[in-house]
Order: sequence, then structure tokens, then C-alpha cells
Amino acid sequence: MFRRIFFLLVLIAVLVLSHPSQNALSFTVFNSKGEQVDPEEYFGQYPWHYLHWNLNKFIEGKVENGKVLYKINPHGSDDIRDASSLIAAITESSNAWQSVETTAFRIENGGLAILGFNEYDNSNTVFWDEKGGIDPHALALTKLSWDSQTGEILDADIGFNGFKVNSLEWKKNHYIQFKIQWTMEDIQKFDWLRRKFIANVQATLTHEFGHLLGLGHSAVAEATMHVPAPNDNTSQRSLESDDREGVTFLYPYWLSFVEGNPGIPGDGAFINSTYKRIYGNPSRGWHDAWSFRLSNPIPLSNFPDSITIIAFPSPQDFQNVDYFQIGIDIYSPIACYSFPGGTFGGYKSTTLYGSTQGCLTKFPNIQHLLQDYDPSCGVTANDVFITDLEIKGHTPTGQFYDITTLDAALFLASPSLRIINIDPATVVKNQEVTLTLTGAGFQRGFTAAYTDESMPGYSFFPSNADYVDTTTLKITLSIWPGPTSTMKMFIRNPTGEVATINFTALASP
Amino acid sequence: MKKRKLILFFSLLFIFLTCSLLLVSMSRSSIVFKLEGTTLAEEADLILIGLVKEGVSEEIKEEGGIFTFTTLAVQEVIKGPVISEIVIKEMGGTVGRRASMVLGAPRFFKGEKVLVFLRNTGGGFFSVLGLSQGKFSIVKEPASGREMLVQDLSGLHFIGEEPQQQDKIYLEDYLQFLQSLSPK
Repeated sequence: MFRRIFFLLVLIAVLVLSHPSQNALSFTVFNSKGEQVDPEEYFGQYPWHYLHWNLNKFIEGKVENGKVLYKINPHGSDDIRDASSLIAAITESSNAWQSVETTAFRIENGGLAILGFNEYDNSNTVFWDEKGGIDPHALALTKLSWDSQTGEILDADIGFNGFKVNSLEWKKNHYIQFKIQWTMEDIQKFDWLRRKFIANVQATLTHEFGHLLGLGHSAVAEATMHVPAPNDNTSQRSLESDDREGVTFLYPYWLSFVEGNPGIPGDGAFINSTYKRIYGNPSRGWHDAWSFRLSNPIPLSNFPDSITIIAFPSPQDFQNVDYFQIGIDIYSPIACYSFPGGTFGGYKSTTLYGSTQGCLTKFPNIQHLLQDYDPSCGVTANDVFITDLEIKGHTPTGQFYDITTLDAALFLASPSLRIINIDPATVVKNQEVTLTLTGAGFQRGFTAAYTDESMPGYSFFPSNADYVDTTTLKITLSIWPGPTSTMKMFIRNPTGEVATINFTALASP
Repeated sequence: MKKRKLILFFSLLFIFLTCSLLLVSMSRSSIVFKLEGTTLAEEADLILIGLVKEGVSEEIKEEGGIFTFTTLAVQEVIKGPVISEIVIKEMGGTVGRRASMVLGAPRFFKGEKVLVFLRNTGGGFFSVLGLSQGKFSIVKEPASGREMLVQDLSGLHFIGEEPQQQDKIYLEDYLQFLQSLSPK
């Protein structure tokens, strides 16, 4: 008899214990249609398919200096009189996301903004609606706007319901209305006697900030982005591993491409890059690899004769590595190509193998990537962009090498100095103008000069010449009065390379 | 005898563990901001079944964003005045390359048959109550051909309630339930 009871109880316990637990990473993101999708299902596609902020793009009042800015409606919350504490709680919520070690996501308080849900007010606004403008059953709402072709978020506003929750049914056919009372105390609960739902600002806002940066909901019960908010605690103020994985997926940590100075990020940076450990999730059985997403896609035309080099500051770290495998994702907005292996919209992945000597991996001309495009489309090297580099190191023992240093410097071999464009291409003589030169291989310490075909034998110097980065220069000049003529701009690098471009100067009126 | 005591001990241990686990899982369920059918019916100005004729998104700068106007051809009114057509105005939509959404807001698709709980927002427009909680898609169950209600609540963030597998809701049963609550 006891034995039967024992086995019955064991059976019950096994059934309870075998209830499916959701402990796998399961963050979701929004695709460019605004639908929540599992990143794993889209594995292999470039993350730009997801909604995200382009931290390198300047959007006045919203993205500046690589940071997403949010502004707070000065009215604050009727429930919280201490404005500084409220701001501190909001700051804590945003800091939770940017303090994740492996993410490049940065967010900052940008001041005050008076409007609420408004896409055109140069502000990502956090506000409290005290008049019932927000759906009366929502605690808080996030509204996102984005570019449906790039997935780049253009605006995000977060509205808190400071009014009430309309008649919730608490017992069959018995309704009760709740006033929402916002608090910064460490509580979140229903107060039945006073008909209030006491809601913790930080717990709610941390979740909403997750939406603001492009995350959807998660199936992991412990995650801050889990669908239901706990009604009895404030645990959503801090992030769990699933949340951290999500923000890292969308905004991998920054590294810099540097020319000739591995380990000194930002020094003469040709282009900024990011890494992500897309294969490095042991729970999913992926192997280690690193992917460097380029913050600014590089036109293939930048590499007419170049090689790609991956360098790390300590070659000793890699002396046992027999090769690096480099995957390159390239993209063309002109989706007109055919190649073996299929297409992903305008994206295409390809893998190159290079010979590794110590810390360097070299590649021959990569212009052949263009050959995959249908020639009848007229796609040129200017229309194709390198978007993503993926590195897999391989040791003689057959193990994939786990690159752990954050100081790794990754750079593309310095492109030869070239000027691709000058803007404006036509100026008027005797008027001051600032020209923007774009190209490749510009170096700090460059010198600029120009000649006028109507004044042969003379060289002129601009009043100002600024180095912006290796792809951009700003030249300010005022050309001597004279007839309409062709001008030639000379740019000389400290290394001695010289490039020129012509522009037109019209006779002054 | 000793063996029996041992079995009894383990049995009690299992009872304790099992009950503890059940209590832990129960503590996550509580009163939520999720709306029950009765609440929806109570608060809605208009409950109807309709067919989505069209959805037009417009950028209205003075109102701060993109709005989508969804026209429904009304097939049956369950609560509210009898009308043949209504327009639902919701924040969000797509105009050119620019898109926007309020997370959890309902989406409508041309030709979709829906049961909606609406509130009058003035200006001749309605909005769906409780974001996507107030919208049900009506689809035919392949096996029986009966009309069922389907809801997409994935964008919503409920207070304190775990998402649950919903039982099948058949339209005719739900209509009976609604009609018992709020007469026309």
C-alpha cells in the first residue's frame, strides 16, 4: 500500500518537475515591419534588418555623439514631487542598458521636452499622461518610428499612464477602478483599500527602455523583457542574461578600425567597427567566432587594389593560430544580382581565406566580389558595400580560437589616397565657400592646395583645411576674382601620396 | 517496519516539495490589467463584427505622427447604434519609408473579418479598447468550418500574468456570452 502511494507521489512530482521551463535565451527584436522575431530564426541575415538606432547618425535631439538622447517632460509625474529623485530613477533605468559590458548602446538624458507622443519634436520623450490620453488599461506605452528600409529607429517616445486603470473585473460582474500611483519606493502592488495600483517607475521604465532600443518581449521568465511585469516585486529594474544578450545583439561593443596603430582606437580611425559574438553561445552549440559590424558600410570602390588585414596588438597571442577565416557580408541597395547560394534581399555573404603570418591576415584584391552582380544592372563598386566582417581563428589543435581581447585592432589595409567627390563641384569666385571632399586614405597632417587654369604657374592655399576622418576633409577657400575656369584641388598626405580632383569656379557676378 | 518508515518519510518529502513548487508557480498569478470579456463589453461604446475594407495611413504632423484609418464594413452590431460603416483611427502606420507603431496596438488587414470592442474617441472616429485586447480576428476552423476568435497579444505587457494557451473560442459561443451581458 505504502509502496503504491510512494510511486503515485513520485509520478506527481515528476509531472510537476517536468513542466517546461524557459531558461534558454529567447530575446526577440523587431524586424523592419515592426514584428517581433526571434534573431536565431534570422540567423545569417544582417542585423540591420532589425529595428535599431544608428548611433553614428546624427538625428537632432535624438542621436548625438554616438548616444541616444531622451528628454523628460518637465511636468514629471503628479505622484512624485521630488523631481531630482525622479530623474535619478529614470537615469538608473537607462544606465541598466548601457552598462552592459558587451554592448555599444549608449543613452543619455538630453534635457526637457514638452510634447508627448510626437515624432517631429526632435525628442525621444519620457512623459506622464495624467489626463487619460493613454489607453486606460496600459501602465506605459512605447511608440517607435523607423525607416522601414534600413530598420533605423527615428523616434521613440515612452508614455506613462498617470491617470487610472478603468474598471477591471476583480470578481464576476464586480468592477473596480484603480488609480495608478507611481512610486520610486521598492514596491509594486495593488492597494485594494485605496483602490490603487502602486507602480515602480524604475521597473516599468527599464522594460520600456528595452523597447526604445529595439527589443521585443522575451519568453525567459526572469528577463526584464518578459511579457508579464511582476505585480508584486520590482525585479525588472535590473537586467538578466537574456536582456544583456539582446542589447549586445543589436549594439555590439565598439572597436575601432585604425590605420597602422593597432591598440589605439580612434587614432586616425578609418572606420569604426563593432563586434558581436554571434556564434559564441555555448547553450546553442555554436562555435566561437567574432563578427565585426561596420558602423559605416565601406564602398567596395575603396579597395581598388587593396588587401584586408586583421591585426592584433599582441602577435604572441596568436602565434598558435594557423589561420583566420574571414567572412565578409556585402550589400548593394541595388538588389539586382545572381550568384550561387541564393540571396538575402540586398545582402550577400561570402567567405575569403587568407594566409596568416603572425597577427596578420592578407587578402588579395576583393574586387572580384563585383563579378557576382549581374552586369546588365550596371552595379559598380560604388554601389556595393562591405557591411560585416566575421573572424574565426583556428588553432593547430583544431579548436576554434576564442578571441577575448577587447583591445584587438581590426583594420582594413589603408586604401590608396583617392578623392572620389567634391561638394559643391561648382563655386563662384570671390566668395568664401567650404568644400567637402570625400574619398579614402586621407591622413592627419595633410596639406591642401589648388590651381586655377586661368592663372597657370600659380598655386593657392585654402584659408582653412580640416581633417574630419580618413574619408572626409573640409576645405574653406575664396578664389581670386577672374573668368570662369576649371580648378584643380591637390591633397597631399604626410607620407607623400598626392591626389587631385577638378571643380569649376564661375566668374563672380 | 523500518522500510515502511523510510517510504513514509520519502512520501512526505515529495508531498512537501510538490506543494512548494505549486505554491511558487501560483504566486505569479494575480489580478491583472488584462481585460476579461465582461470588462471589454462593459467599457466599449461599440461592439461589432465587421470586414476590413481598407486601411489608409496618413502623416498628420499637427498630431505628431502617422495615423492609420481603418474602414470596417459593419456586418453585425452587438452593442451600440446600428451603423453600416465605421472608421477606426489608431496611432502608427507606414507612409513611404517611414513607419511607426505603438507596441501592442492592433493591426488590421484588408479583407480580415473582425470582432472589435471600440471606444468613441470623437471626431467621428473610434479606437480599439485596451490596445489589441479589443480586437479579435475571426477565422474558420479548418476541421469544422466553425468561426473561431483569434487574438494577437504578443505586443502587450500584462501585469502579473503569465501568457497562457487560450482555449478555442467559437464566435457563436462568444456572441451568446456578450449578448447575455449587454443588450443592444
